[in-house]
Amino acid sequence: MQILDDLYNETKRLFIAGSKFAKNDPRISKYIPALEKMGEKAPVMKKLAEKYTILLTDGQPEALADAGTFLYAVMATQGTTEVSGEAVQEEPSLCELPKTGTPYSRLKPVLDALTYSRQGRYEVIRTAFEEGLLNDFRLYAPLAAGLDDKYAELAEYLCETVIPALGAPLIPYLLERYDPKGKRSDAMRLSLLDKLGYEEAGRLALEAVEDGDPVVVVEGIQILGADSGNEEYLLKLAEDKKAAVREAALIGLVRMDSLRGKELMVKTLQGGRYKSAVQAAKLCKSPEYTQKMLDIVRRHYEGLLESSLTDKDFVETNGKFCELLGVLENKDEPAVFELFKDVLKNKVYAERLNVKSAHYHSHDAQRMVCDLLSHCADERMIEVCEDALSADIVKKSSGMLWQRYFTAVRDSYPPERLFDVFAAYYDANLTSFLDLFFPRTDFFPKERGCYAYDKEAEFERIRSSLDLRWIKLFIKKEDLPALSVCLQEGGAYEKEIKGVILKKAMEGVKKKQASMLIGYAVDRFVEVVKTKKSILFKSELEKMAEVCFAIFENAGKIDTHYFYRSITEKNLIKLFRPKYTEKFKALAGQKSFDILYQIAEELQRAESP
Amino acid sequence: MDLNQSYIDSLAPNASAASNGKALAGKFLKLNKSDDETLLFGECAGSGKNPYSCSVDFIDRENPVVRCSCPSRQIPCKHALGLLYAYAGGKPFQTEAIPEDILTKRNKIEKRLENKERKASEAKAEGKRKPENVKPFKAKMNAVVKKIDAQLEGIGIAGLLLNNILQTGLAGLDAAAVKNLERQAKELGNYYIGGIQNAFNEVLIHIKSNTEQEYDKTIESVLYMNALLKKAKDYLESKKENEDNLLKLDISSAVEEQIGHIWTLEELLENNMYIENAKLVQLAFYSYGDDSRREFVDVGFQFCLNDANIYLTYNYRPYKALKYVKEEDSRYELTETPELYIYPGDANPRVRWNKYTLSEVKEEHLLKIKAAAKTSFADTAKAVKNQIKSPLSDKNPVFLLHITDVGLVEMEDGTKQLYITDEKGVKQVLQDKGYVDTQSVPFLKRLDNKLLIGNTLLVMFVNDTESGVLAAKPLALVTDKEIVRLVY
Repeated sequence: MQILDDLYNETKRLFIAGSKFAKNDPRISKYIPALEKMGEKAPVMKKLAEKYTILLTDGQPEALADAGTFLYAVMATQGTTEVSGEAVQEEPSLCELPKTGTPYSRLKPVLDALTYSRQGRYEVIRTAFEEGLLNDFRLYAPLAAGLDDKYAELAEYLCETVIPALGAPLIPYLLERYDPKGKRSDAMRLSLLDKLGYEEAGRLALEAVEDGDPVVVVEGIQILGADSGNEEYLLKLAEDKKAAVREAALIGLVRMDSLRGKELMVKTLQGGRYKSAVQAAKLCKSPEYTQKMLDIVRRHYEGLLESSLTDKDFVETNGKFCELLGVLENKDEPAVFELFKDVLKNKVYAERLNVKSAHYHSHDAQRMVCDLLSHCADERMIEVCEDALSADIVKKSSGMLWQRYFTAVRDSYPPERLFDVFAAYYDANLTSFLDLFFPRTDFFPKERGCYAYDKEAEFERIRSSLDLRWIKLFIKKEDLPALSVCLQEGGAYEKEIKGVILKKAMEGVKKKQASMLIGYAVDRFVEVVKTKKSILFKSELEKMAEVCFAIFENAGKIDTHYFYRSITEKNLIKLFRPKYTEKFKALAGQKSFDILYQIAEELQRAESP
Repeated sequence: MDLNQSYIDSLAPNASAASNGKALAGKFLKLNKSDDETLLFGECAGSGKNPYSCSVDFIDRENPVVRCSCPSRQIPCKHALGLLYAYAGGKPFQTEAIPEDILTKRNKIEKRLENKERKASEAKAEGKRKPENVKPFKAKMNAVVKKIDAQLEGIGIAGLLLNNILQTGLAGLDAAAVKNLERQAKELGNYYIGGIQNAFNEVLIHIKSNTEQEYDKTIESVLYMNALLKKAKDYLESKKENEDNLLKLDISSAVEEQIGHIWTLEELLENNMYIENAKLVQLAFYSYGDDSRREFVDVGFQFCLNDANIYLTYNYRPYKALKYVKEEDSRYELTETPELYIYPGDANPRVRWNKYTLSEVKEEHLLKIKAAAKTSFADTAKAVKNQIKSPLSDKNPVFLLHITDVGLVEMEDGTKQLYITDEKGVKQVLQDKGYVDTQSVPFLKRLDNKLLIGNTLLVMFVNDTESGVLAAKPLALVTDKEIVRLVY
């Protein structure tokens, strides 16, 4: 009833402003006659009019509360259970009732993880997915909303793994939140709608391309690229003023194998907007176009070798050349590998690269070639590496190539041959043990990483496939990481290795450079001694304690924790009794690390009877 | 003894205790059981020097007694849960004699139970269910009068505070004024009016989050407070005036609880507020944080097969003691209890029980639930309106509705509203409104109508004064074969 709604709004105004404004309030009093008139037929309206008259007369808070309470009561009886509108029909998407056997206690944590920003929510969702808990319609809406999560890994996990696995039932929920003018999450929704087979995905993609946010536009173009009927449209987009649109359109054209698209891609590669075509060119596998691309790359390369080129121009052209080299990714053509070989061992090019500022990572064609080689078959890589490493200039400069080469042949060459090929270069410091055996630097970071992961299996694999001559070489070069890995109970040259480790460790102490790498070597040392159940000589024990304390002296807070954990596990802490108690107290005072206080207390306790 | 995982889960105070318990199941140093398997006991290594001794005594199968030497205040603790999970998981338990201390404790409990049962049967036989330790009549009367005086004094103070708010206006209350009101609200705790204090806290919480949208809620809470103060004052004054009523508790409405009275089960028994041998099926479950009470509230929507009513179970978990108070959960089994205690209230009173057993929900139960569904939406709406027009009533009554047909209408703003109709073609619109914030209508919209027609929907009514719509929020769908939980 309109009059009640109006009165409700005016009453609300008084609640907000205060009852002090109620006395003779004209905005209320204008309703009284109408209420009184209605009251002739409906007593409840008469009573309402009386309540409001009291409010207008005395303006007291109690009167406002009374009038408001009565109005609310009347309004509570006015609610309608129907809504007016045009009857519509929708195609149902669910034709059977779902099971809802997951209790609150299991569902709520997942719902919270999808709704609130809390630590560990990725893990909660991953576990729930693995246990099949996410396939519950009560989670569909939060899952579709989860794509907006600020934690990008979680949003990606939902997009790439969870929602595709749950399938078509998610479509309505994705549609509900989809906004073409939105952001990255909307691009994900569009992509998912297409993946899940939403029949209108093409139309949405078209709308997105025409009037969407750039990130959604790119996704839209990729969807359109799946349909060859959109060729004309994509050709138009491939010349758009926005780089992202051009790039996506060219990718779409190459994916649909459009001849005109591929021509345009080659043309774009030759022009100033070449960057838009690089990704599309990488996807193009046609040999005919590979040759065309190779011609473009080679022309740039040859231009780089011209002596008339100024240093400034060289730097600029070299940058472009390196980017263009990328288009040769996965192009298994002999001519491509010939170019690679030339780039690696061309003296003129190598000399020009020495020009200041021409040697950025992204502008390093040799590094780029090494990366491209990692996508090739092993035999191709070996062929290029062997050819290039036969040239003196490459031998002395490219540790990365040595790595690629070693990785390619490690499993196919027998141990003796591996040694014959690589030992000389290792001996000549052209490559290192870590570069060869641990090309992934995160696997054996030079300092602490060795404590962070369990690499014993990997070490064992290396030891078992090593020609013994390597160990002699490692001993000769006193290579601590290599010796730590090679040291094993009853293994070859065990005594010698232990000797070198102790020697290097003591040197580190003297030079005040006892690093975690030494710590790791010492750790291995003790482990081997323990496995053999042999005892350490007193002199060895003293040295160990000295080394370990020196490592504590030099280590940062996190390293201190790692090292403490490591030596505690091996019961090595007893090395320090009782001589080091005071030393640790002093060190703890100096560095203020809790863990050092803990060690000092532990030693003190051990001393007390 | 048959112990399954869901039963052990239901004993755990919360999900994390259950998961910790599971992790401990394989770490027991000793796993023992008594000859008759009524006692499980064992030793589990803990952070202390000595292992913890824990036991679970099933001498009373329905009320297992859990004991552990660990310092945890959780009951059962993770060690006891671990012991149960180990048993359920088929770990080998050695048969051993029951330890002496447990035998002594068993005897004590047995004696206590015997006494209690004897007294209860005597009370039933004599038709009196009065609590023990009744004070001398006069002293009791004086104490009650004294309490009522204190309550009326508190109500007077609360009234003044509320008038102050109304006079200043919601927009005129700045942070300092609200802080001052909060301080004064704490004082209300000294007048035995806990319910009124909670209502006042709710007003303040709404005021603090005042926005244009929030004003409606704030005004509603102010009106509730105003009505409560009036009713409480009238009720207490009339009680004080009439000596005969002085010791009686009002069971015709929830006013006692709304003022702050906490019903004991004995009081409910005395007032015949119970059903014997009740059978209940939980149709839906929800949990939410009530900031005014500073507690989480676990609500279970129970259908009672005895009287075909919908009852509510409330489990309150104070924010400060979350670890120690058991969190309720969705229950899929039929609950049978010898005594179901019913609190005074509106269409859906609160219930509680002590002893219970669980069994499978069968088709016959589902058919009974369906048969209880309202077939006239007009009558149901009338009943709802009659209830919600009272300012102190539960504003969200819950009913079962029989679905004769389903439809969709498109509104002017392009939104589509789902409705169900009854046999006479009266429509009831379904909307996701009210305090249960999970979305169930989008799901129902996508469901083939055939799956809805002829079935029963458990709904919570929500009256939206702004739009003038009395909407129904779907909580569960009951078919001949199953209960589809739309919430939890």
